[in-house]
Order: sequence, then structure tokens, then C-alpha cells
Amino acid sequence: MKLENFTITEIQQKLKEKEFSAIELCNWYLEKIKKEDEKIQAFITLTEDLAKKQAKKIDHLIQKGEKLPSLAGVPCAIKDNILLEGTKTTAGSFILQDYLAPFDATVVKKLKNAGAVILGKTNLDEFAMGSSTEYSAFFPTKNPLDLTKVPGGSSGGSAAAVSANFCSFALGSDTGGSVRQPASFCAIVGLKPTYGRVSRFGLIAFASSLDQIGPMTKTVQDCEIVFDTIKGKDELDSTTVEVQEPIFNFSLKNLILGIPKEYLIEGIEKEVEKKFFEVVKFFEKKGAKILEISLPHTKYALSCYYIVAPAEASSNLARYDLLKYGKKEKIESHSLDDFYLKAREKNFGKEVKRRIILGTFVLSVGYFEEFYQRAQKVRKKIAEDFEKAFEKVHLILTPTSPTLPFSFGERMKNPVQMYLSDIFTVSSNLAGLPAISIPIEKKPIGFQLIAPPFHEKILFETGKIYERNNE
Amino acid sequence: MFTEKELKKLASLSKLKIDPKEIEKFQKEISQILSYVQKLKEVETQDKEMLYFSWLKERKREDLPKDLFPKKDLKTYFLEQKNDFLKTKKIL
Repeated sequence: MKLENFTITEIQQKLKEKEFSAIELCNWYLEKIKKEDEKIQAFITLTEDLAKKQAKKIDHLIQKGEKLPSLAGVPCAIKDNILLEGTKTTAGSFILQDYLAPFDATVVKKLKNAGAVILGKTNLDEFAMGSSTEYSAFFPTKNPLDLTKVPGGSSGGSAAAVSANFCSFALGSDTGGSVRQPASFCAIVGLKPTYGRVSRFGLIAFASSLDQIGPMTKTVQDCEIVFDTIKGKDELDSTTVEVQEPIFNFSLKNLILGIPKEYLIEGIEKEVEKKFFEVVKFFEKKGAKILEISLPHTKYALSCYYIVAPAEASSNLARYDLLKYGKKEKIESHSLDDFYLKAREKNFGKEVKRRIILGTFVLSVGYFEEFYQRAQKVRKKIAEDFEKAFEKVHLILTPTSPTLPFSFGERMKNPVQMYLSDIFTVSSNLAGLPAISIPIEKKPIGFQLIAPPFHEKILFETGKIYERNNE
Repeated sequence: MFTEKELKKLASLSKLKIDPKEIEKFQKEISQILSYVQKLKEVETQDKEMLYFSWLKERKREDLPKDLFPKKDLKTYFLEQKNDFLKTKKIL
């Protein structure tokens, strides 16, 4: 049996036509991972038994001729900061090395109910803090398109797993670009939904006013299918909302795309710029109107992000003390305080420590107004820039990342260098907007579409037109 | 530039210990980040409010106990247990 790089829709079709069974498909993927993941290292944990059990359940439904749920038999992977009951969930950190998730995250529950076959948990930068997976406590993941390059991050394991065809789709989390930037680096599709659209119950919190879970897929169509499965209000996450999806008559001829002049900055690589303008030309040729717009506070977005995100992280990560859960480790200490210091010093990586200290600093007396409060006010200005822009345009079109995938170690020396990787993606987290990254010509270069809140459907419709015409 | 004393104070507030060999590096890196974010001072923010998402209005629900997920299972995954208790390290 030869199994190719199937999309979700193709898998569903072939299962129904009995071209292969769900268990055959599941085994084929597991074998492939066992054989090839040694060189890519996308996975931290394989959930073989769970996957086989789920696949057999789907085969049983097929045999009985029952109606199949939307992701029946589709093999997927989950970023290792999302809880999967009874399975190790490390968040890429030594401090959670032995942590067994006591329940399913809401998104995982929804995937299971939709019949998806979960193959394993994928690598990430520790607590999702990073843009390359080099900050994973365990090992860096390699980019399947070029093993000497990083896959991006922090959802680098998920991006690599989809790109290497170790699964049909994966879930990632995006706080400042952690779904979209690795999607761009690995030539796949990645979506950060509107803040409040997808439940974060069971996502290990990094920066709670920015975090969203999003699908990472091979096509825009698949992205839509996964998004439709995981979205929705959840009693267990009070930030989720039930929304009436905006109704629109979609046609490229009526579509106005805005290109922010502030995004075409110095430092953007020539190849990225060139490919991006080919995409602009494509949409123009198809009848969309292209308009230059201004988002004047763009140059402050990264500064704003690197105050807000560490501040929230310093508070969210205060709970890891090695007393309640996480890891069995004997630590000699003479007081409770001494225990905390030793446990956290030993088990947190450098980037996590940097951010905790920075976050503590910007929240401390005397600096709160100067840094944190100011950043939150600038954040409001950034959001207002978008509101104004969306009075004139339907969507905003930008590159996803200013560069092609970089080499290992290249950006480890200076943290600000690593942060610059997120320069085009952080703004939509700060403003809570939905944004999608779509690969250009299967190259590790993505373009990004940003929409007003809850307009994910326009992202999909526009993306699908690009995809259909560039296969 | 961040002084060594400031860094140590922050580390202790954050319940972190910094390896003495790494202090200088941390000082340098955190100062780099802080000097990068200084840019925000250029923005006029006096009349501004802090951001909140307009679609997340203040929503309260009644404070009633609900069985939203099975608490009995939580115990199963705790690192150590004794009788009906969860066991942690001795802390005093």
C-alpha cells in the first residue's frame, strides 16, 4: 500500500471507499515516524496505543456503515503544551518532565469526538518561548525541507511533523507568531484564530491575554475543517465567546487587500520580498483591489509584546515549584524558599529565566507605570490602527516572517535577534485578530492574511483561491 | 545597564537563583532587551486607556458548583499518593 501526502478530505474519501482502513493508515504513519523522526525529532512522545485504539474504533464505525465524524481516522499531532489525558505533557521543560495530564484539553476532547487519531506530542521551545525550537529543554527539531535549518517556533515540532508528512495535521499555540512563523518556515498552513474563538482550557498558559490554539495543516481547506472542529464557547475558558459568524458574499472582485507600508522594512530578505510581491500581483490579477495602508504604531509592536508577554509569563510560571507535580527529583534544601530557588534554577532554561526576570521587573513598583502600563496603552493604539485600517480594507496582506529559515545557533547569542523573527506576527496577537500563514509555491516562505475579529471565513476563502491557482 | 544588585533582587523576587558565573551575561542580555523596549517612550499615551478586547465584555456567571470534569481521576496522575491523600515533599 502506498500512502501519499493526503489531505484530510482525501483521507476521509478513501476511508469511505475502503481503499485502506483507519488502522492501516495509522500504522503506516507510526512506522514512518519511527523510521524517519530520528533525523527530524518532531515528536517528544508517541501515543501509539491511543492512536491504534481510536483507529480501530473508526474502522468499526465504517464496518457498521455508520456516519463518520468530521475527522474520522485522520492522523494528527498535538503540541506538547496541550493536555492529553494520561500522557506526558512537558511543555518542552525539565520542570514538567514527568507530568501526566490529568484531563484532556477542550481542543483535544473535540478532536477525539471528531474521530481524529492522535499519534503523539510534538516538540516546542520551553513553555512556547522561542522562535526556533532551539530552546526546547530536550532537543531542537530540524526543518524537514533542509535539515541544517530551524523549523521555526515555538510550534516547530508540529510544523515539522506536518511538513514531513508524519501526520495529516497538528495543533499548535500562538502567542506572538508561534503557529504562523513555523508554518511559514516549513511551508505549511497555520492559523491563529481570533482571541476568544478557541478554548484554552488545558493549554499550559504562557501569556494569557495573547495565547490562542490554532491548526497547522497542509491546505487551507484542511485548516478550515480543523478550525470548525475546535472553535466555540467553552464553559471552562471564560474568554471564549459564542459568535454569529459574519455573513458575506465572497468574491475576489469585491475584495480590498491592504498592504501596510510599515511592514516593508529594512531587514526583510530579498527572496521573501520578491515572492511576497508575486502574491500581491496574483491577487491583483484576479480582480482584488490592492491598497497601501498605514499602521503607524507597527514599529512599537515588538517592544510592546516583549513587555506584556514576559509580565504575564512571570505570573503564569510562578506555579511551578516542583512540590505539587511535574517531576520526581530529590533536592537538598534547608528551607522552603531554598527549595524553590534550587528547583527552579535547575529546571528552567535560560530563555524562560530571562523572561521571568524581565516580567518581574516590568511589574515591580516604580517600573509598572513606565513599562507595563505604558505597553498596554501602546497596545490599545496598535489595536486602533487596525480598526482604522479595516474601515478601508477587508484584509491585510503581509509576509509572515522577514526571513527564510535560519541556521541552528545563528540567533542564540542575542535574544533581541531571535525576537525580530516575530516582527510581522505579534501585532495580531496584541490586537486579538485572526491571521493565517499560507506557503508560497511550497517554499519556506509564507504570506500572512489578517482579518477583523471573527472573520476567519474570509481568510479561508481568500486562501483557497490562492491555493487552487497555485497548485 | 542593570546592576548586579538589581538583578539579584529580581531573581529572588522571581524565586530564581542565577549561577554567579552567568550574572554578567544575564545583566547584558536583559539590558539589551530593556534598551530595545525603551522605544515605547516615544509614544504619547497620556490620554489612553489600557487595552481590553471589546468583544469580551464583563461577563459573570453564577457561582454554582458544577461537575465540569471528573475530580476523582485527577488523583490517579499525581506523582505520589498515600491512602487517600496526595503526597508532596516535606516543606517545613
